[in-house]
Amino acid sequence: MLEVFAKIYEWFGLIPFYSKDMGDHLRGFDVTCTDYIATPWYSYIGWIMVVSTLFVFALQYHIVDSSRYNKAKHWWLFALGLVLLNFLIAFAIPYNDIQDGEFCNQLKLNISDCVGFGFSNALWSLILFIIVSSIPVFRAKSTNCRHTTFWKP
Amino acid sequence: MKFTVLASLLFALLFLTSCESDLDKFNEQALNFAKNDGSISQQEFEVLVETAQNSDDRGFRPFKTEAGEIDYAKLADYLAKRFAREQIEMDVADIWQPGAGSALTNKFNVNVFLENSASMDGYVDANSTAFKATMLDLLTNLENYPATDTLNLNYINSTIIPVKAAASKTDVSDFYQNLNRGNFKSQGGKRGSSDIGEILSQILNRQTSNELSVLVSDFVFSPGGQNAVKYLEGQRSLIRSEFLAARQKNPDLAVAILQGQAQFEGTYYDLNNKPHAKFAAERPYYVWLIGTVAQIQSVLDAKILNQTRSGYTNTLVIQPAGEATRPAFKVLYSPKIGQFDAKSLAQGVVSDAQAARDDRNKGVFEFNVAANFSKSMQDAGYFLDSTNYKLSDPDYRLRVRPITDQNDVSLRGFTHLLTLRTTNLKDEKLQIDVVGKVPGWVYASSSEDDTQIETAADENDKTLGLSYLIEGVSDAFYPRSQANPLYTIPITIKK
Repeated sequence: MLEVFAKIYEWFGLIPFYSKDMGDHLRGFDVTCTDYIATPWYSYIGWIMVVSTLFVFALQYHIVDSSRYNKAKHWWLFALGLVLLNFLIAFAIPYNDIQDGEFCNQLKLNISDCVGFGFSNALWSLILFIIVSSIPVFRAKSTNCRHTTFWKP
Repeated sequence: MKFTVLASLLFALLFLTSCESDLDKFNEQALNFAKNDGSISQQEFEVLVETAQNSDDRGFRPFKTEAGEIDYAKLADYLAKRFAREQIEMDVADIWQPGAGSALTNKFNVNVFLENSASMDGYVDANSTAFKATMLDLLTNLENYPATDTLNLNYINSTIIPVKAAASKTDVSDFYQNLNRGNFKSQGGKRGSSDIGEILSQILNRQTSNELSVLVSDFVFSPGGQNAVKYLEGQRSLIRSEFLAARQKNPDLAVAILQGQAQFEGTYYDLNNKPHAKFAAERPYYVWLIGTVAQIQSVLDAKILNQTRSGYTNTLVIQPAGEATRPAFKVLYSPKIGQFDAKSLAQGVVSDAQAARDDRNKGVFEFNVAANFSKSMQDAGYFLDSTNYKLSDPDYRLRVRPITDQNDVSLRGFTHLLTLRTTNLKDEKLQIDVVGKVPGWVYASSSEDDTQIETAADENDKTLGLSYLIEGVSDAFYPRSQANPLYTIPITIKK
């Protein structure tokens, strides 16, 4: 799954939001610069993004499931929370590694790489949220939000 | 329904964020072991090996062979780096490893031969006690060395003159007290000239695999008025022939040559045997160790020779160039010129290699390899001379630098940084060989004419015919028709 998430976050090599060196760090290139044996952050952050998206979807459609929060603007409110959460997670983890010096010193990492990865993670969580909430079958069991999507009502 | 969904999602989130890999547990266990007593014992090492052996975690991949067995040396290197990262003062030597230290288990006799021809009088007559004090330190260290079975003291010139067999501490002290011209003369033998070929022949003829010979001499040839170059060439052939014969008897034979400096005051005899009276200067002298590879390795590792009063300025080990060994090495991801992928660097593969495209370095591809030659018998300086390397692709240029920054965790455990540069990047298996040859310091210390020793610049730092002498030994170990690799570093370059 590591490489699957890596390809997704790197947008299949088409849109580099952050450097190749940051990609190597997130793949788990260790502090001794020997091999990919450190924490495989791509996998961990990827799964957190998927689970948090599903959680926010469940929160709006099945847990809160309120007639007071079933408009498109409410969808965007939940989406904003999700995007912020995922941005923060993806920004903070490599940022902390940089601050603590917990990375291979042959990789050139900086704050803009952390911002880029945070942005990439936030964008993918939004895309996944759009996809999940656009499929009617996932909304079918919601009492008050089964017609709620990012564009309606 | 709502509660079930929430609980399931929370549980899944908790599971995904809290899982700890086998490598994390392994690291934690190793750190606990290290913090206990600052070392990893046999039992602790075996526990760690078992953990790594039984896990499929990809993190253990670098320590495993293709057959899935643990590579103990690599595991110990990794642990040392990990401990350094955690500010724990430990190195590889503090980590128990199977087989480590076994080379020291066999005891051997040490036969010391001090040349007492007239050319050596100036070292023992000097007001400075540098030579004599260094000899005392050397003999004391050898006498106390655990692998020394018996220490036998001898003088040598045209013949071997035994002084003391199975020397004790008192005998060593007596030997030191008697280092003077008067005693040298009274010991007999032909002191008028130094026949180095004959001296080596006598030592090699009586050498057995259970003995380490230590020869101390100025190694100044005495052509005695003959054509010096012809004489030296003859001596080179003779010495080669003596060592070839010795290697036939003992294929594991090796020679370590250490160059020291000491004050010389007295009469210097030049290539025409003309005396230069009252000559005073710092002059080189040499200590040769002749024995098996294991004996020499153990003596050099124990730093017996370094822990003497004046130490030694240069060292050379001439050893059998059989199958080249592979030192620990690592291709560095940066610095570099051009681009390549880090994915297979641990396997020594530089993939997706591209030459630089910027105007400054257009077409250039450069990368660095960190290598650890600390386990080698050769002096660290030997590996700094790029002429001692042979590259399978002559399009590459090599520069070598020492690694001095031991605070850099990515370079810790490595001694030399090899920078490889080419303008003809292609797919290939690049082999970097360290070859056995006579190093540059020998030629820099060698003279072919010492008649102006008192006036010619640097002549007093040189030894007449040294390069011929050492080439004679080198030719017996490293035939000029062969590559003679001692170490090899294989790297695969893929575009």
